[in-house]
Amino acid sequence: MFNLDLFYESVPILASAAIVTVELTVCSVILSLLFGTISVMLQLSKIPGGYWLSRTYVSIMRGTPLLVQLFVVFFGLPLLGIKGQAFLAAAVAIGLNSGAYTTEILRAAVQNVPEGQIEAARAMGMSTRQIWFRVILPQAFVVSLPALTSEFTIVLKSTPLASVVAVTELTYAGVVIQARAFSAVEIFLPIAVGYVLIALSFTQVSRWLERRFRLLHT
Amino acid sequence: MDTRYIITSTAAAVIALGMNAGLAPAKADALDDIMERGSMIVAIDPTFAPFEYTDSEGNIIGYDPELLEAIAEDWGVEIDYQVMAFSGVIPGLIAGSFDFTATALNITAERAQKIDFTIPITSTVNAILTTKGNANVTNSNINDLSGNRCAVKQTTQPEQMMQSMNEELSAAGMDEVELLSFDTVEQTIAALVDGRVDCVVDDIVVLHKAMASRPDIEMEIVGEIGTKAVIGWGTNKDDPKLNAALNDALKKLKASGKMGELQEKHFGFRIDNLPEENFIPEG
Repeated sequence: MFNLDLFYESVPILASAAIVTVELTVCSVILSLLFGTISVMLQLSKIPGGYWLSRTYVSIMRGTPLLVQLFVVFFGLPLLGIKGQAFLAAAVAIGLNSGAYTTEILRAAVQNVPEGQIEAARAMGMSTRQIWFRVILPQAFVVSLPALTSEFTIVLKSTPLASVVAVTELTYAGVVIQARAFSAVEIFLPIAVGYVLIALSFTQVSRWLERRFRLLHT
Repeated sequence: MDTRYIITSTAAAVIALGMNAGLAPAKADALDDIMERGSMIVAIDPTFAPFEYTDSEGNIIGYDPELLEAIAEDWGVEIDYQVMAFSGVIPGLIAGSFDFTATALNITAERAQKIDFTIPITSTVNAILTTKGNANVTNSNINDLSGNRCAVKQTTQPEQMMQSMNEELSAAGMDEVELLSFDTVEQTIAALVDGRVDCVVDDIVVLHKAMASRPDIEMEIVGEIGTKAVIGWGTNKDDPKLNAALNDALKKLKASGKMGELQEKHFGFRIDNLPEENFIPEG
């Protein structure tokens, strides 16, 4: 029953769509780290209004479905005169969404940095900015690596939603082939394997980072 | 310190910009955009053979793409496809995320309130597909379908038609047709093959194509259901010039016989007497 011809002809198309999936995931992850870091700094430093800005962002992003956020961003961009930027819209929406979870992961880690270290840094004459970037954040990122990795595999698996805003990633590429070939196994089996491989390579990078930084810090 | 204030104020500015729809620049007609850009950004969901689908290399082919290619050649512009799932097409058109859509749209009164349609490029009627010898579904009369399970593609015209027929059924005190909504045609066919539903309601052309691509399963079309509908493309209500230009181009293709040729090639028959005005059905 397994149609080998269909399998062989699908693989190149799926492979190029898998690259889109990886690109979208990586861009979303970078934005998520950026938004999460800004948001956690706003929340925990004494900038006026920063706490509420960050809490509101986290509440909105965690309290609405990603699909709704994708629609808002994608259909909101034309209002700013930007047309046909599907990939950008998807990366921003997924990055904003994941950034809320990254905020909470980092918050737990930042609050676990011993108060004594911050007092010591201040006693040494470090500015608030230096304390954030040299003392707090480096430790927070290392401690958060396992939780962040887990969050970013969730980002990987939320990328198929981007098909409604015109990004042909791995899953939708499969749906398009399936619509022509009317069979599923030959297409969705390699897709599943593809996702596993992408997720595994993310965890490998994370493991490598963990080993590297644990060494530096012990 | 400074950096943080810059970050905060930038974030605030971005949020304000995002929320303030009133800041939108005055929008020119999409036709001017197309000519200036030298390409048309066209939304398409290529999961709807024979209207639009892909070949084994992933190229977008079908009746609509071939008509569109003829128009693009005539206008001397490129086609930049925005390939997307159907549920994003009409919202994206209304929001102006692309110039127009060449995905086959059933022209309905409800949709016509939100978007403009081109002149019809084909007409269609829905039909009932079932497995051969299914005792529950022997004809397409809605009273006989009452109480059966039917698969439909979600957010499509066949789904809406079945929903309104259901309202009539329950008003008459009869059991509704239980509707199971799926994303794609082949998922509805799979549901039929698995016995999860008794029948599939979809466009008759789509059903013929689905039957042909699954020769291993014995299926039959037991009859047509509902009124004949016309199919066209969609443009944003803010782009009347684009709509008029597409209509002129389509009329030209019709007059030259090219449209009829493409119908014969993709559907196996020609559709005559397509209306050019008053084609929006009454709500």
